[in-house]
Amino acid sequence: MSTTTFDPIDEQTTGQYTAQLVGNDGLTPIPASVLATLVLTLYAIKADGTDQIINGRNRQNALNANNVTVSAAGALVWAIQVLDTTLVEDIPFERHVALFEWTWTSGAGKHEAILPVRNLHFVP
Amino acid sequence: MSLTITGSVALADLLTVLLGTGIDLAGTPTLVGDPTAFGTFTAAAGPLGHGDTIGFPTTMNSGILLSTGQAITSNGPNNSDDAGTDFGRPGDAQLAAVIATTLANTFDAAILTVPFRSHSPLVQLPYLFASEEYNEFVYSAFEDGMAIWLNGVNLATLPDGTPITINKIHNGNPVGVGTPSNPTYFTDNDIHPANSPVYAQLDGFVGLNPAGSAPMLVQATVVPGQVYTLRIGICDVNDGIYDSAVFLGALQSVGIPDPAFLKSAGCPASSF
Repeated sequence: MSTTTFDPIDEQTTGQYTAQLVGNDGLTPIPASVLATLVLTLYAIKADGTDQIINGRNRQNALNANNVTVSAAGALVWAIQVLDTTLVEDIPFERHVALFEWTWTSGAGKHEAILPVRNLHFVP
Repeated sequence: MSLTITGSVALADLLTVLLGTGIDLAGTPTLVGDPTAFGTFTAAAGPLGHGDTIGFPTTMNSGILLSTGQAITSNGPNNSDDAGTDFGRPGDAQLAAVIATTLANTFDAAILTVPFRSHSPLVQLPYLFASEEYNEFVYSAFEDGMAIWLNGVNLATLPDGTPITINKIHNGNPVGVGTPSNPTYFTDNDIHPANSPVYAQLDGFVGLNPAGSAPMLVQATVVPGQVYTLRIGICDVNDGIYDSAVFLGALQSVGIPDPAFLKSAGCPASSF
């Protein structure tokens, strides 16, 4: 599984995450047409080490649904929503983890994206 | 002169640097962790000429480092808030106990174990702890930490016994805001809002001071000639993403060598 780490993003802001889905050789794009499933789990790692699902994204269908698109060339775009960057605790930074899991005709893959979310003092 | 880090250093080469004056290898050493996590470094005393203001201590112009990611990631300049490599490797039960977490919450442990004999009754080992978790993840669950055990006892602590972890030693989050913890041992090296004072990637150091002369120090009395086990370890906590590292100078035997040991080692006392 590969992991990508973002620079910090401000709480309750929107953004865009892009990635390329590739096959078992690590090079060949996986077009949306051959994907069987694509799900997104988004969670915060809390100060006590436990996890909390964010914005209801618990193995949520993300195959051209729920703010995620995959093109014919395998380009994944996740339109990050305000609720995706909403803090669950009152701490200076919160680590949000987006786990993408997909299956296609020739296998399965996983990818993790780490979003450090900055707590803005005057945002309620 | 810059900080120079060489990664993926083999065990024998690590020992050549680590085992200093009056210390003999006395058994089979071991490494546990990703091979790229172990490295050696050299650094001039004082600032390193990149606009930085704090150098490595004079007693640590060279040494080894253990990292929870690739050792070479620790090199300067500091151009990222989130540098690191997630190896997906396991943690370590003894480190978990030091950090007061569970084995399952520790990741990417790098462990070096060395059996040794000392020529004199006092040994010392200077070290610095540094982490990319600073300052953003102070107060969070990402409490990376380290330990240096001698015969199973962790000696890498503050004088009051406080272990070396992110949440035990810091200056608030953001730095200067909130309740600090042992801030006199901490040097902020974040890239925001100003340039990093230390020419290294990691965003905070434990054991430096503005004079660059005060590394943390493990000291222990030992029985000369007796075999002791040194175990050095560092790990990520709660995930393996952001790196931490421990820089170590040479393990040295200090003070007056014990004549009895010198005899048993076949060395005439006059040679010292």
